[in-house]
Amino acid sequence: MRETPPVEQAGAPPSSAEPGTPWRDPGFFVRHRPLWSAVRLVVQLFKPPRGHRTLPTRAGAVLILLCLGIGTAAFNTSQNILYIALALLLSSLLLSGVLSWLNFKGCRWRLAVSGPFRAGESAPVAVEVHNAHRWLPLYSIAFEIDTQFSADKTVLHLRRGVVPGDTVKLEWLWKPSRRGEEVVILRRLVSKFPFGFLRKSIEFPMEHPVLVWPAKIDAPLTFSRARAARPMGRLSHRAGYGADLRNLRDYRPGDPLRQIHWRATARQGRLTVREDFEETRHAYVVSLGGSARLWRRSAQFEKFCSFAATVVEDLYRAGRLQGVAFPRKRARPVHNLGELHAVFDALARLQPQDCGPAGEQPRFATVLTFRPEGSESVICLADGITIGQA
Amino acid sequence: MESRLAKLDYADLYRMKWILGGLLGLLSLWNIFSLDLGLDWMVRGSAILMMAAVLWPPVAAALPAWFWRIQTPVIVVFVVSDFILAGGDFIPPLIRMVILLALLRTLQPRTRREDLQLVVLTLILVVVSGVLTLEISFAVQLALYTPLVMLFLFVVNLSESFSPEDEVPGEAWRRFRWRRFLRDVRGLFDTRLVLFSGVLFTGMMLSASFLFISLPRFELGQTLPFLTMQARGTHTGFSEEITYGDIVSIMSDDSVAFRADVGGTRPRHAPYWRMLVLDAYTPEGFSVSESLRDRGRNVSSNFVAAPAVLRESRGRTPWTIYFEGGVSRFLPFPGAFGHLRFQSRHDVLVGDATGTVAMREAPGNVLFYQVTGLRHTNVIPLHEADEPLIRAMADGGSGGRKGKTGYPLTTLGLPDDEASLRVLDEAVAGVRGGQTGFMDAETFGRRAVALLQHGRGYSLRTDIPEGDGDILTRWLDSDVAGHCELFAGAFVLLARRAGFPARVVVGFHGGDWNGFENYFMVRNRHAHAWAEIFDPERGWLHFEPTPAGLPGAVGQPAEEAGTAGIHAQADRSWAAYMDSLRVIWYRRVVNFDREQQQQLISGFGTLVQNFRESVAAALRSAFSVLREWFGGPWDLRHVLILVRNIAIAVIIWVGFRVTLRWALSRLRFRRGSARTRAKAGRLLLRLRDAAGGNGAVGPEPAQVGADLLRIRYGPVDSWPPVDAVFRGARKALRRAARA
Repeated sequence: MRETPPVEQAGAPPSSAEPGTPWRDPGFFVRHRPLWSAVRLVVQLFKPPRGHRTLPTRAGAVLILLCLGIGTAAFNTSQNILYIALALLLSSLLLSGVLSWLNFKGCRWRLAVSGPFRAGESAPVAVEVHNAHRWLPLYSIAFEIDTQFSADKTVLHLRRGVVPGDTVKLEWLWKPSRRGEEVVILRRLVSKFPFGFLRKSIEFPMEHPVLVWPAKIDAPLTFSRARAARPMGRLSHRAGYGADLRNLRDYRPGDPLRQIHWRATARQGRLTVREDFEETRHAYVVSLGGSARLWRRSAQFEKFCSFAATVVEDLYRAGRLQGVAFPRKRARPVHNLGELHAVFDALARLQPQDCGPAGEQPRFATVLTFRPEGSESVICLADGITIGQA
Repeated sequence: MESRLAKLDYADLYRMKWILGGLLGLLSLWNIFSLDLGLDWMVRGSAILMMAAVLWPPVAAALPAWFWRIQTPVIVVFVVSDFILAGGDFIPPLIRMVILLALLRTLQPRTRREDLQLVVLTLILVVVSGVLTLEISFAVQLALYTPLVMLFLFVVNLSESFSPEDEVPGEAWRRFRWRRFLRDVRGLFDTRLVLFSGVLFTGMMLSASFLFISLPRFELGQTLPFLTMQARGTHTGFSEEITYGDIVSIMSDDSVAFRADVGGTRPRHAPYWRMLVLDAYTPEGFSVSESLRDRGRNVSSNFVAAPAVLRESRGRTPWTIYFEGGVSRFLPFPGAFGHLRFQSRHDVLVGDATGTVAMREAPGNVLFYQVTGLRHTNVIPLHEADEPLIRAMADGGSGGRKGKTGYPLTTLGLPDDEASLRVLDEAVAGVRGGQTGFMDAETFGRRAVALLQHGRGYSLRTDIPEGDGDILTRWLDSDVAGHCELFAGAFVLLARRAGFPARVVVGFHGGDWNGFENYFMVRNRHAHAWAEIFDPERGWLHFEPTPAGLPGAVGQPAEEAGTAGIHAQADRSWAAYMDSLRVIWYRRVVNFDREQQQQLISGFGTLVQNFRESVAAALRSAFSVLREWFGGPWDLRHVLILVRNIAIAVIIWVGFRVTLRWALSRLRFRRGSARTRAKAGRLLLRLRDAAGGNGAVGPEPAQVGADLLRIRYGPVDSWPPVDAVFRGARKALRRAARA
């Protein structure tokens, strides 16, 4: 198996912005040397490359039995009609092999895994298939995909032909069962092209590591109790529309005209707008700190991770997430989707032994913490008051 | 093409699968029609139903569910009872069973398993009918069946990619329209794809031909029982008891009885194809006596050797006879032969005394056999069985009587009524012409022929006078015209009355000479009867008593016997051409054996050896020239010549490489190359001019134009398939030009 040639070369698949593995080909031709490739091909007829397997299907077995029967009858009777039938059957097997080889030869493929993946939720894992032939369509190839840790596996069939030079995407809706690091593996290509007599497979490990975020669970929080205990509104550090100036910055297209700070504009000679603190919402910091001894039960720890991810996401969606504090680390602000995904990534990797006291937290923030309750449940506390349970 | 290929869904594949399956079923029945197994009603009915399933798929889909529920037990009962009722003849019920199963598979909605079953069943039908008929139509059938079955398997394989939920809804057939379907199918095929498929198919046929030639031929001699078909009845009247008029009735049939491959050289004489020797006289006609029948030697082999006296090889060129099925169980031979070889083992009855061979049953399909050591004379040599005749003649035995004990004395049998004998005595006296002394058989025969032909014409319609006595003697006593049976029969009776053993021989005479492939086409209208008279010193002399220009071959070598009986002009008609194709099929394919294989291999070996030797000679010559040149005195001129030659070689090599690359680059448009962009620009301009010319641009050219624009100016990643777009543009331009 070799890497795909650069795009400039003939038959090269298009470049793709989607993350995934590099393009692969069956490796039939090496450096486009026809003579050497032909020699190599002849050698491969007798000694198939590693991972290449060709086995007869049920139809193929029937064909072989027919060949044996007709051959026996032909030798027995010297009937040339039977010899013709035998020769045709053998030739069809030969043709089947040649066509199968030709079909595979034009195939380029890669795993396109963009994510994000979340335990319990389906997300697409794609195999991109490119037909590098100049004028032969690509048919009837199946891709066997599975994952390293979960039992999920599937076979993606190329149901329709791929026209020359075209690329199609075969999608598998994968539903990870657990959070953490996972590997999507494209095990093998299988084809019964063209007549279904032979099942040719190319086995190779094409792996792509993915990170599965914790599952989203159904655990509503009752913030009213927390607000009752601490009635004073906390100013959000999020930019918004309020009375207190947060920042002055250059004008960007789309900014409302009323936000233009005319005095600063006059002073600096360019359009400047004001950003205020959004003060109408309560903001929270989610603390993931706690003693490692708390999470002795792994199921409970998994529930904690899912609960925390759900809380973080809900708060972010509601615009009330100020930051997340990981054990022994300073609370990090979560202002955008990238930062939120970074939190999920960290939660996906979090292990009980990583737990410890929370790092430094904002002074005026309402801190949400978690702790186990009983043998199975996990509760969420806001400044010591339970606001939710999972 | 691209869009249609991409739109091909399970319903489309299902429809294609259905129609291809029906066509396969229909095609597999083609050769079954020509089998004489009493299957006509079934084959016709099955063909009609299969055609209906192909032409009106919804009709087959509308068959009630109970039909499919009861079909299995009904089939089982039918098949079992059919096999029981057929007795030992298992071929007809076997074929009936396969036809029935293939029909059901054609009519029913099929899964992949049933699709494969249909393939196997139709393949069995094709192969079995080919084996039983050996006709050239098998080659045509196979040439059509092979691509069809491959397309079918291809579609089945494609449809396997779809999940079981992708069932075709009933509406799929209700919406089905042939015109649309054919248009869609046509759209699937790109010219280059069709060409490529053609090349692949040709390659497969070539590899099949190579395998056919190179597969080793073993002489297992049919040690395992295999399909052999007997005719349900002979088409002709050649049997062991021939009554007067039988041969004449055969002559009314113009179909080919057999073809004889005589080695390509047209013989100077018209062969007499001996099939049956009739020794016993009966008032109704001549027949084979029981004693002669019992003398036959049973042989079960693919090789038959004649008695030693006949094995003296005279003719080196073997003659191959392609004997049509259902003609007769008696095989025609152009004279005495040394060896007879069949393609496979057969049970035959060899009449050593008469030089005839009979099958146990009339073959139902074409039978091939080759005879070697042919004696191109009209004399059947003496055989030990003839010794009683020699003794009888030495004893001065004159005309015998009916009821003479066993063969060969049966060849002296005569009518026992006085009226007949009186007529015969008068005729014999006429033949002798008053000569009382010894007269040899040949002289008697010549005179008898002259007497019979004197004032008597040839006619297929005879009006023999009523009266007492045997029919032959009544005819002999009259002067009405007659046909070969009457002439031969009367000759035999005359000879016997004169004390010469004689017998009637039936078979064929002459044949049409095919001018395309140089062989005899012997038709049933060439059926004939003649006589053989016994000469104690030479054997059985051939006599032709029938007039109408036929030669009176009286024992002289055949070379002197003229060419009557063969059409003076070789047949070069269209029918003869079609017939010659059949013989080519027989010669090159059906009759291909180990001997021909070895000849082919040795011929190829000689070719390779000659080529190798010529190459080696050329290399040796080139090396000697080089050695001489390099061994010469080295001066400046020598060095300059060397440099010049090396430079020329380098220039040729580089020129070749550059030309090759240029040619290859012309063949394809590489993605991203400036030439491709320029080409797109040119096509775009031409397309716009053409659109401006006729005032309107259809949706298709608009799409092509957009694609060309993308290739001209867009990023390479966004390009559609370049070749396809260029092709589309050229099509649009051609359409615009036509408009």
